[in-house]
Parts: sequence; C-alpha cells; structure tokens
Amino acid sequence: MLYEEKKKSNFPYSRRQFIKGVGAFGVLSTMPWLSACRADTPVVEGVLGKQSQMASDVMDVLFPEDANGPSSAQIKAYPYLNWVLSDENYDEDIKASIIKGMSRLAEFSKEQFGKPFGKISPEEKIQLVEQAVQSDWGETLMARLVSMILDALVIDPIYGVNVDEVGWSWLGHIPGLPRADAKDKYPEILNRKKEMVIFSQFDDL
Amino acid sequence: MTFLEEYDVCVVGSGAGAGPVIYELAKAGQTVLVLEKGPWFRTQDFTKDELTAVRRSVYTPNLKDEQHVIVETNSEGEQEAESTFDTGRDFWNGNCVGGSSNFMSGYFHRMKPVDFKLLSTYGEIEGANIVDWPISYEDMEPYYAKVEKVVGVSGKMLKHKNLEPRSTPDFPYFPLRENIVSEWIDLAAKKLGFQTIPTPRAILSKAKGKRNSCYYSNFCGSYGCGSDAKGSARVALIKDALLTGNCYVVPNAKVYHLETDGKNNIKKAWFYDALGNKRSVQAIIFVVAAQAIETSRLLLMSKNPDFPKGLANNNGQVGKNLIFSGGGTGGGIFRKEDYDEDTWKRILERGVFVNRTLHDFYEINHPKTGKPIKGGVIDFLFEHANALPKSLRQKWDSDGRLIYGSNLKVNLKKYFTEVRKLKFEIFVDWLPTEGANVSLDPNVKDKWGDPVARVHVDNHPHDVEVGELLAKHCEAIFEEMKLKSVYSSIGGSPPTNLQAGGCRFGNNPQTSVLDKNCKAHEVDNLYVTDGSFMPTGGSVTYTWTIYANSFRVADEIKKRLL
Repeated sequence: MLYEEKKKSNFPYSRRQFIKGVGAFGVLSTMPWLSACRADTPVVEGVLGKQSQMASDVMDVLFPEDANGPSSAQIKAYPYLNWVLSDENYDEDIKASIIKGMSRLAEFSKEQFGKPFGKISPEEKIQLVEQAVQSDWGETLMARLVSMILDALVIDPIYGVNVDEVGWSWLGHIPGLPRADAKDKYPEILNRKKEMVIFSQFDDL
Repeated sequence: MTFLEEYDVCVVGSGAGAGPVIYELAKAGQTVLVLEKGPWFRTQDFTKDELTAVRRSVYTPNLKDEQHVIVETNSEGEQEAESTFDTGRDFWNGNCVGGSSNFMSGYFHRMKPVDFKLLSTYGEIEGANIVDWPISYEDMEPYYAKVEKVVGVSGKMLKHKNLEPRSTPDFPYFPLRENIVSEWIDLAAKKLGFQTIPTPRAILSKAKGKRNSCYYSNFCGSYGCGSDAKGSARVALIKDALLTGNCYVVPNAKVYHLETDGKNNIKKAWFYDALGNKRSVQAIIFVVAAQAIETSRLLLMSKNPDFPKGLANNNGQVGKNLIFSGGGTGGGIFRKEDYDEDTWKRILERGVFVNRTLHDFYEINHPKTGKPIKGGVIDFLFEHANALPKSLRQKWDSDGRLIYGSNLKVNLKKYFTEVRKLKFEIFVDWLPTEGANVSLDPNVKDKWGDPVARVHVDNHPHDVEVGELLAKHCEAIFEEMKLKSVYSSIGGSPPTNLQAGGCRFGNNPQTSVLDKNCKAHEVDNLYVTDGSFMPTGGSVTYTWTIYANSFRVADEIKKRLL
C-alpha cells in the first residue's frame, strides 16, 4: 500500500556538498545516457487527458536529462504514471490527488505566467515547479510524481520502465532472482488469488 | 476431492501457529481440513519482483476490501481512530497458505526461562498487566528443539551468560555464510566487553529432503523463498502433511463464524468460499490460528445465545492484552571513501548475511534504582536490498524539504554506490496493558459485510525506556566500528508484523481465555495456536515460540483424539 509519508533523509552529506557534486558530475558529459534522445514527440494522452503532456514535462523537470544519470523520459516515467493511474487496484485517493494536483498546476501556470502550461518556456516550467513546491498542494503533487519516477527507475523492466535496466545499471543495483515473467508480474499474479480449488496433491504446493 | 462430512480437525489459518498442528495430526492419521483466507501461492509463484512483493497488495488483502481501524492516543490524551485504508498503515502480514511465515526473515530466538515467570522474577510494573505463564521453559524446551530439527534452524551454539538451557548440543544446520562486517561487529563488541553470537535463522544452510539450501538471493525478508530454504509453514510442515493424504487445504476460504451446539462445543465452521458463497464444515476439534488480531476478531464475531459477547468470551477476556514487540532500530553507514578498494568490495558483498546477535542485555540493572530489570535482544543486519525504499528516502532533505532534479540524482547515485548501511534491531518486551486490545468496529465492514477489527494500540513507557538503554550500547558498538551517521530510533509505534496476545492462556478461567494447553476454558473443542496465547512476549521475535507451542498443543490434541 502506498502513501506519502515525509521522512527525514538519512543521506549523510550536506546540501552544500551535493550541490557541489552537481558541478563535479556536470563535466562528465560522455555518460551513455546523454546519447539517448530526449522524447520530444508529444506523449499519448492517457488518464490525465489534455494534461498528459504537462505531466510528462513536469516529470522531465523533476528528473531531467543531465550528466548525472538517466532521465525521466529514458526510464519511461510518464507511461508508468499513466499505467498506475489506470490501475483499478491502486489507491483511489492517491490517484485522485494526482489528477486534482495536475489541474491545480494548470491553473497555477496561468496565475504565474498568464499562459497555459503548454505555452510557457522550458525555463518557465522549471520556475513553475520551483514555485509550486513552496505550497502544500504543490509539494504533495511533486512528491508523488517523484515517487512514480523512482518506481520507474528501479522496478523491473518487465513493466516497461527502467528500459534496458538503465536505472539498475546506473545505481549498481542487482535484482534478486528469480525475476518475474509475464504471468507472474503484477497485476497478472492477482489472478492466482481468485482460484478456488481444493488441492491435495503435494506436487502442487 | 469432495468435502468429507466431518473432519477430525479443522484448522483456521495456515501460518506458523497452524503448521505444526496440521503436520502432527495429519501424520498421526487424523483427517485435517485447513481453511485459509488467502490464496495458495506455490514456490514458483514467488519472485523477487519488488513491485509485487512490497509495493502492491498481492500477498496481503487490498485495504479497500479488508482493513483495520487503529485507535491510538494523541499527544493531547485523546483517542483517535483511523482506518488503515485511509492511512495506508497495513496491519496484514501475508494472507496466503503458509501465512506470514512465507515472508519472515527467520531471525529465530528462543524465549528464556525468565520470560515464563516475568511477574515473579521482577515484580509488578504499574500500569502493566504482567503475569507468569502457566508453563515453564522446561515444558517448552523439547519443542524448541523439535522446531530446530523439523522446520530447520541454522546457527552455531556458543555459550554466553544468558544462554537458555538446551537439550541438544548444537543446531542441526551449520551457520549461513557471512559478510566481513560480522567479524568487525565481534571485534568491536569484544573491545567493549560484550559477546556477540551467530544469529540462528530458520533458513537451511544445506538441503533437507526436497527443500534446497539457501541460495543467498539478497532478497529474503518480505519475499517468498525461491529454494524453500526458509522454514515457512507451507514448505516445512504443510507439504509433508499433504503427503500423508490426510490433509486438505482450502484457499480463499474466509471463516466468519464458529457455530456451537449449545453444549460448549463448536459444531461447524462457517466460511465464505472464493465465490462468496457461505459454506460450512464439521469437525471434532477446531484450531484457530489466524494471527492474533484476526483470531480475536473471529471469536468476537462468533456470538450466539450461549456466548453473547463472542465465543469463549463470557469472561470478557477475548481481545484483551494485545501485545506487539517493543524496541526499535538504528544504524550507521560505511562510506566508500573510508576503505580501500578490496575492503569496500567485501563490504558490498551481496547475499551473505550479517547474522550477529547480542544477548548480553537480556537482564540489565535500572540506571536509577540499580535493581535488575528485563532487557532484550539486539540483532545486527544490513539495510534491506530493496531499491525502492532506499530511493524514496533520498527525496527529502534533513529539513523535510522535497529534493528533485539533478540534486536528487546526485543523492541517489551517492547513496547506492558509495554507502552501505548497517542496522541494529532491538527487541524488548511490549508490556501488556489495559489499553491494548481488539474489539469489533461498530461501523467499518469488510467486503463480506462483517465488522473489521478495531485495534487499540497502547504502549507502556517502560518499553521505550528499556529500548533506549539498549540503543546506547548499539551506538557504542557502531562508533567503535567507525561507522558514520550513527543513529537510533526507539518509540512506541507497534511493529505490525510482531503481534501476539488477545487470547492469553492461564490457569484462572476468569482472567484468561485459554488453559495451559491452549484449549478455551469455555469451549471444549476449541484450541488457539497462533501468538494469541502469549500473556507476555519475551524480548525476542515470536515465530520460534509460536511454532514450538503449536507442536506442544498438537501433542495434547493427539492425546485426546488417539
């Protein structure tokens, strides 16, 4: 079950140290993920309807293409978000919160820049996210989107994310075995829960 | 197969409390029907897919369908009730054949003789409902030994000052492989005057029958085992029970009522099948082992004119004295920059275990009074290999502000590649109090329309005090090991996977639900064999004791049936 809970970071480095780190990583521009093309083509409209492109763009701001590792577009974070929002088993409150939050963000763009989100520049999109996280609604929305991005970064590529294990490779994460196949992944495995059979054959256990 | 008209034994639940009863009675030639609320996952169904195992309700019910209502006292002293569906705070621990034993980490510790006589050893503590057990450690010891052999416990016996008496010289399975840091813990502890021991685990270090040995997957706790090395009730006990031909398991069978015959005997267990149809089954003996909260709930739901307050509850004791496990956790980090390349690689070695435990503080002296008080046990382990929790923790800074963008990516990269966290877990008694109990919620229903359990959570301040005393020793060991960012977190929040009590056993029918053999005082053919029977919990994880007690009760039931 998912729910957003603010937790103190256990990260042992100071804010200053990792900002400095960005600069250090910034010169390493030959990382393999930089060779990947950014997804400039419009996204397919999903549960969020006309706000689908906005969601994808915001996720690009939250996990950008840079010298530090794979981007939101590379790990297919937006398609993952759309899949989660379509999942009838997923927490309805969280889904509703994201959908409502995106509508609020669309309004916020007009308030801040006098233009719909689709008409503001990339720099203005970054500013909009910066301003949104100063509010409770904006921070909640962005935190949820970041959670979706992190899911897409590290869960199994069988879900269409973490493409070519780029997230695992980047973080040095080695998954456990056995990995899921098409019949064992979520939500297919839930079908097992609907079986009603009385078993007495030990080979089945 | 078709239903028999009547079984010798009907068992509700199939986890650690149920497994030994199922195993023993089926092997003794009794017909055993197991009604398990959850589905029947096989070993091949368990993968190491993090989304399935820990991020979605697959091994547990969807909280939309089945929830709990948790009642806690806030800082103003007012009681607040919240549905777990609203909060996402899940109190389920594995609803499937084998129950939560499929997903345990298998840290196995016996309770010690003093745990069976807590009241007479240390006296009363104001606000706590402490009692001695009606049996002694000596009564339980043969069954602890039996679990080592039948379920399979690996470890190495080392003498230490708080070692409990053993009838066998050593564990039947040698210890699991260890990381280099295990030696460092030993050295640091020794320097401080403490003695660490290898942690016994309910994980096979060599094959046992058709069960394979541990393959060091690196994803153990919260996951089903891919080799059957982990001693779940499903693979260690129920599988052998099925081999007898006397055991029948019905998955997706949610028992909602135990019907009595007007003569203090249960006649039928009523359950919903997978299609929601109401069905019933008859048996001579009924055993309930649905995990503590749900066991109390089922008895409270089983009302009739003979038991207007719920089955076996004419004395009003069902659901009382719910306990969890007190204590907390803490940790410290190894940083890549502090080690040479070879040493760092050894620290990162995946799959192998830390497996170190301290029993030195099972009894300690109170720092103010100087009097001996009950302490607890400390286990050492690495942070779980799950990638998602490690990732998610990087999105907040130390001031609680959201981190995103390139800063988040730098944060992630450093944590995953330049840090490894070592943790400790402290287990102390969760003292039973009047405030911790289970009742039926008057408003919230599950998907079948039955009232959900209303769980009142209450912890005694003594638990936190003891936990904090032990945490200081843990932090000292980590400081000695030169770990960085050492911290501890002790509190009164219940670990939802360590629940017991609610149907405590005892010799007095007015103050306990079960007799010393875990038969209900008020019902002649009802036994309860999960952790519900425990009036106090000891300062260890419960599973070994639950397994052992279920073997003990099985012997009592056999005496009656055979």
